[in-house]
Amino acid sequence: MTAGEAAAAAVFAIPLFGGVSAFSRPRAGRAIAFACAAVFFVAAAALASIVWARGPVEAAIGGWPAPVGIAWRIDGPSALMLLLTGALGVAVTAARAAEVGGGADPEGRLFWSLWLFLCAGLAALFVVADAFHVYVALELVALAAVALVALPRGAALVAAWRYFVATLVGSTLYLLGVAVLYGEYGALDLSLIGAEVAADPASPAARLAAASITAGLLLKAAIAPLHFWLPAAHGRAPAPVSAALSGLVVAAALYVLLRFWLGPFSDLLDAGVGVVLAAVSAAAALWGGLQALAQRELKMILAYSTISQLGVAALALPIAAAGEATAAERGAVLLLAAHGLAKAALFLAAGAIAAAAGAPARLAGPGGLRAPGAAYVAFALAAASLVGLPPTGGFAAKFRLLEGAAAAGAWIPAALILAATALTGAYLFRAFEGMAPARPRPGAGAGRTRGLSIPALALAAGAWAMGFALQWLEALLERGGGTP
Amino acid sequence: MTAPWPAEVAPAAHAAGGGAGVALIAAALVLPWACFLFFTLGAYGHCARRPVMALALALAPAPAIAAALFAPDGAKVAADAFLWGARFGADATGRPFLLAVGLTWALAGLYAAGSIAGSEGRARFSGFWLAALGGNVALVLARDLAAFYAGFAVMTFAAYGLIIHARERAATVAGRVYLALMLLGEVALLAGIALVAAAGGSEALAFERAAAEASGTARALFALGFGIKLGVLGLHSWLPRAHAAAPTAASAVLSGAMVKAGALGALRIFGAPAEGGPAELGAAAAALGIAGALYGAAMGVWRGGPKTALAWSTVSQMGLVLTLLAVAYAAPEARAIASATAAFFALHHGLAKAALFAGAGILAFRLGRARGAARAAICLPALALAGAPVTTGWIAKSGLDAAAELSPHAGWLVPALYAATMATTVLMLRAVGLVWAEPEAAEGAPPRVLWLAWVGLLAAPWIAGAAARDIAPALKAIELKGVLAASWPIALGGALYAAAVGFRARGGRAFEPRVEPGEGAPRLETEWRRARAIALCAERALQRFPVIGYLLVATLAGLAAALWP
Repeated sequence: MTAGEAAAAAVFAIPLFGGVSAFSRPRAGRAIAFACAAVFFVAAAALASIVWARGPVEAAIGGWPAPVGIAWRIDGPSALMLLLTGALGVAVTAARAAEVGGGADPEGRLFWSLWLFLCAGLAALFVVADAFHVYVALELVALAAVALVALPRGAALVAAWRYFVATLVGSTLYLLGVAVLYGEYGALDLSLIGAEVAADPASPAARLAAASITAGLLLKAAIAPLHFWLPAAHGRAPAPVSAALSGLVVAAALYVLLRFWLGPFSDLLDAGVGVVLAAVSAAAALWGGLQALAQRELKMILAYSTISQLGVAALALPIAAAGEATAAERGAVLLLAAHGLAKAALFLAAGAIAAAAGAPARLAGPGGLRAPGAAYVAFALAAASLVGLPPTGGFAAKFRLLEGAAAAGAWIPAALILAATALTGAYLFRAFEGMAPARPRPGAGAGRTRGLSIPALALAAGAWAMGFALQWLEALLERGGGTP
Repeated sequence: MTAPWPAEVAPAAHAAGGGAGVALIAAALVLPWACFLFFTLGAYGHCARRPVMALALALAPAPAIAAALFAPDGAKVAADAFLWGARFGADATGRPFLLAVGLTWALAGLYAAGSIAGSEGRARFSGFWLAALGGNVALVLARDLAAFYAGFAVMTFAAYGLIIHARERAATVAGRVYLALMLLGEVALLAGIALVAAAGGSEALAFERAAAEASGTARALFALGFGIKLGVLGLHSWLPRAHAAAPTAASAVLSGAMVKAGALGALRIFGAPAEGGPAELGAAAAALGIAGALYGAAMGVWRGGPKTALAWSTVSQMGLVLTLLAVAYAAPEARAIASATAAFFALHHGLAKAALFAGAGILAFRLGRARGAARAAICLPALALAGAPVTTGWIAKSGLDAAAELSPHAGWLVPALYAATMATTVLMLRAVGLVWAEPEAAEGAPPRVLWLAWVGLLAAPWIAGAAARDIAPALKAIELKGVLAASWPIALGGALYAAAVGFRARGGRAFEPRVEPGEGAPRLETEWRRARAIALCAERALQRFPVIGYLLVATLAGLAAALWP
């Protein structure tokens, strides 16, 4: 077992065992979660540096090669997504621990194990290289996420129910596509499927599978007009859960969609498909942005902003269809990473503002919302990355997408990215205009406020740091990107 | 008459090795951000006391001033980890801008410390101030488009925090207008830069290559982005509102330093026109500049409030800068003089305008016996803007006329410039009159640091003028106009103003001050409410299960149809 394989096994197995032990030993749940998140982050960082130094890590579990066994493949993009998961894992764990505080935590038993299962599912999703195990990982992620949304009970149950329906239909459509592929080719490994599709791109089975898988993943990634479940689920959940859902879970679905279209289905990606994908991405980018502009509750603004930003990332598909697949993939993965950091920071900052006020954060005229200083700074820094202010990660990602679009002559996606950027600026400044920094009141909420603000600051700083580690990140993304 | 240049200011330092220059440039880039971290991390504590704030805000731009005067052209700082790698350094084009930025920010920083330090939100103000300063210095020192844009964007968005600092209704509206236009400008610049990079890779973003290789579309996008920042006629609506609403110190740096970023960007990209660039564009831009100069002056006279008048004067003066840029673009024989004059104009206007804003702020305090001296002193920068002899305006206007005479459009440009000088004189008299007429506060003398800042701003133009020959060598070619030739348009403008005042004294209404109304704002708000209600209603419909079903089927059908072999 090489170091790379060991690290890959660790990112999947550690949170999985952690989840089981957190369930059986609820009182140690928080400690287990902290330990697992830390180990996860270290293992993901090790994995990323191994991929960066030596190229993709591949492993056949139990020594069985691809058609029979489970193949793992970690290339640059998946290493970066794992690193993002690790970073958000630590921040969300810390924020949740601070939010609950020292007192009794009735949801603790379930929360920590569900949260660790979610991390394990995400790790599996970024590691496995065959279509069926992607399905298993998607289900693990979805069930854990639905349960996390449902935990507060009450009104959250309705949101969780809608989320459950959406993700179930999405999984079914995805599984249908995988079944068609398996029936036609007798293979599940993504590269084997890719070879078969390339041999006969006109095959109706491949095209039916592509349509079904795409529709399922669009639903899971909340690309408008299939976004109905997201605002309620993300807007109603506790701040750390919203941060993880917006930063990781939807992004993971979109990541799988990108991998399919830039990998096994790359031969099907022609101008006609590009038009349909551009239409749904545009709907998400613009409708999400407009709705974010219309909202008053801070968390709802952020939830709709997620729809808009993922729509921008999905515009990578029409850009790839126009012939710039490499630039499109690089820009989209960078965007997912930058968005994950910034959006999680924004949700945690919103949580800190709400904790300081003791009420949900709603905009009430210019300067009407009192924000603790650290949360205000974190919000401003993260917002800068989300808009795409240089030298943040958000800027680098949007710039790569725009550059690819310009090189491919894809003017409509380029114009859409710019329009979505302007909308992002508008709704974030509307939120910003509504806030006035104020010293937090000493009292019960002060510890929670600080506990949420500090991870928010760290994540926002991470989004800025991406601009200073950009050459390393792009070198990492070059390792085995494109066709798996 | 030859120019009465003083002895060379800093010949020795120019000859000094590159090491000191590199250190100066690095310090100029880093110090604002070090202070920024100090204030943002200290936002919880009490570190924003007046002496601390004065020290930080005044000293943060100091290395930039030193770099402008002493850093040799070859000194470059390589920031390899910054995005795709960036180069920063001082050059002949940027040097006057760097001096303007450094001096204006330092002295206005002193003023800000004096006026803001006691108030709530001073740490926030300092944070935005230092971030905007950091962006402004970086954009002047940047040697490629990506670094320039980074500085430009950081400065632009940080300035939003300065404009809305008061959080009054006017400030909020001004902030929204500012932001709407700035977002448009940023998006245009971003698109332009992406076009350049897509055509030639990230190496093509270096200014030398970008200026030569940028396509027509990219150039148009750059022109839009820079034009908005410069407040070119038609794109200027943010400028008067923002200046009137922002705290005095912020208005000073907005007008004195930040607006100039548009001029610098234009000089960098359009300094040498691409082969076959249409000459009509140059004439059109020159005409637009003259129109902006006259319109800005007229509006400044019409619209009441001293700060509003000063803000309109910036629109007017930036019209003249646009004219210079247009001449540099269209007439190869005038390029050297026009470019150098545009840069010097930016320096001269920045300092004079900052001094005017600061003076207007000081005259609103209770001054007692010092009031007479202050009233007299505020005339100095006003005279400089009008172009009176023995001020920096003399050099700037001489360069402007020299460039206009060399351009192919001299026939109409030269008389138009005389008209613009007259208009400027009238506006300056009007602005000074408005400042003088402001009611004196019942109590509260200005803190001593405000006086220090103002005296510095009043004196700075002469220092800058003395250094001008060093920092912009092309200015040596300018022959200063004779005192008489420089004075008669000012005298004519003065006569015009006197006549108008006399007319008003006899009951005429032409010069009644008109307070800038928030026209259009209520109607826009109703429409926004209606649009918002419609959007929310549509979103509710999209969340109903039958609708979701149809949408899912439609998506699937669309995908299947597109994928059908």
